[in-house]
Amino acid sequence: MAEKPQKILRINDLSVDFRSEDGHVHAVRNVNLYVRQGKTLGIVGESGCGKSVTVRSILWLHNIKETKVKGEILFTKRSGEQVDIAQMSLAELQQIRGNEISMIFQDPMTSLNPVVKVGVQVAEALEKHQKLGRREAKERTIELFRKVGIRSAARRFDQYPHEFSGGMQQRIMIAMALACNPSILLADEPTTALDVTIQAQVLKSIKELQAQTGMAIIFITHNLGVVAHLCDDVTVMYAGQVVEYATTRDLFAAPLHPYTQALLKTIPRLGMEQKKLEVIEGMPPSLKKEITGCAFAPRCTQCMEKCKTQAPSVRISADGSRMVRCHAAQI
Amino acid sequence: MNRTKRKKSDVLRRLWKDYKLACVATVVLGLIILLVILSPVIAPYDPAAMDLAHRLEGSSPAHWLGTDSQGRDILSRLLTGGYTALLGPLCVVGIGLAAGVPLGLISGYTNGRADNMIMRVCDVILSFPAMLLALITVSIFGRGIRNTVVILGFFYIPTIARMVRSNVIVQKEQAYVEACRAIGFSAPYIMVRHILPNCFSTIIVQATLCMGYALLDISAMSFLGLGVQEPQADWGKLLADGKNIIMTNPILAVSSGIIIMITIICINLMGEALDAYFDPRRKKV
Repeated sequence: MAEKPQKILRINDLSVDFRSEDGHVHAVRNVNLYVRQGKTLGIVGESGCGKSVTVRSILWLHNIKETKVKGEILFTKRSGEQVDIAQMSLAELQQIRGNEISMIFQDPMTSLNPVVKVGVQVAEALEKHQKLGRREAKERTIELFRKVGIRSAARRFDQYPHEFSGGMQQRIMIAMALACNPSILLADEPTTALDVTIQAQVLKSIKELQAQTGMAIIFITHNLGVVAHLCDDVTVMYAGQVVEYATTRDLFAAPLHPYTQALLKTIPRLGMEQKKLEVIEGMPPSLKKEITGCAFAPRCTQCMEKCKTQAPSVRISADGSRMVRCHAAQI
Repeated sequence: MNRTKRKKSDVLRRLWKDYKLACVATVVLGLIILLVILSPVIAPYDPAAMDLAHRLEGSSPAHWLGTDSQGRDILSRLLTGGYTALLGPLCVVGIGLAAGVPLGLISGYTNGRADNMIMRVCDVILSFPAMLLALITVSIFGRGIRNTVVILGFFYIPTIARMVRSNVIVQKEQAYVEACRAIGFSAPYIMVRHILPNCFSTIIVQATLCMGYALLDISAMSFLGLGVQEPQADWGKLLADGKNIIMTNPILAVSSGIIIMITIICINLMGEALDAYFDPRRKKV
């Protein structure tokens, strides 16, 4: 293990290009980030900034024909061996997926197969990765259902997805993802499709389960409140790049990048005087063209002449826990 | 125990409430199948026994549906003729499904060179009138019901493969397929265990529709003298025989025509009901 052991996943210089009919889309550009063992990393940013694409790269879920992926995704397996997911064969990937790294998706309704019993969907993951027999897998599944907070689990095993509420469906997805005790859980906006009370319940379950299993979580969200509540570290992405990386405490205390500052200003607060919500003016740049200078420059309130022509380089704090990509930021 | 029982009767009651027509169709079809199966016992005469003294007789207490040009009892022939007319379509559709479903799955899921090859071959076959092709091939390989069924089955493959493919393409883009990949399932596993069950409803519907067509096709082939051979009876052939004597004794043509019609209508009604039943948008939770 050449890397520091506590970083279970390291992404180095990841770039993802989608080929489309009218040219390439540079969805992710030179992303660097890491996840600490047992900790939660939040990825925030507006729609289309490359959050999901980055996370899907970790499981190599892109359509290979239409996507070009460059970079390293270094993952430390349970055995302690460090592997580069970007170099793996499909068979090796299928050993990792759902077993050592698993994923939950935004919309539980469509992420479950509508015509297969929910219990069976969870049990088959166990049958595949843990080589359990049918009966054992069923027992383990019912156990898992209880663990994620599904009542009368034994009866629920034989029901179909449409017989569950959205929150319950997401719990089933979580049970499926946790079936094989993964060391990393990728959560792609898992609560966006749920209403606020259910969101809080599901988040609470996720947190409890993390405490029990000691897995790391990468949590994509638009909701900065969720980040503050759930995450240890935060990555802010903009236009396919990481613009800031910090511990949650540092980020909320003193955001360095103007984009992060602007994002934090947009959060409505209780007791706020009646006035319009803050917005970030303008639109994110098109990812089809090369971007000269800083990607955020056209919307930035602190934009300087240099920002328009010269891409800011990454600045890293002395202890390596903080990173920002801005000309103006002092670290 | 008690609970499941009650549930079952509930299901039946709901089926009757929602699909009255299809229920009637099922009963009628069941009755026809039963009569055909029991035909060796209940047929009043040997369907092949000629009685030249009583040719072309009309309806009478001895021969309820009269006799044909060789004095054979029409009712008996109609009953035994159901064998090939009912079993034939089943085999035709069976062959079509057995090859068409896997081909469609592969074609739709891989979406690459294999897809292109399979679909172009299907296009070629579909560009000719199937009946004409079947006619030619059957005449090459020899007449008889077995050849007819196998060859007709072969020509049903492209239709079914295409239908399955279009379904698979839709299903492939669903989020649950990505979720399956994220769990680490292999492509064949996802295809068979997850995508295929989502295509079942359309496959069943298409299969019942094809049954109707296959019955008509086999009847037509027998009508043209390529399918069922003398002295065996078959609804299609009975219709053909009836055509020759339609002026003197129309009962043969009319009765065999009607039984074909009833069977096809029943099958189609069932297909329609299955379509409605499996459509999740119509299913109330």
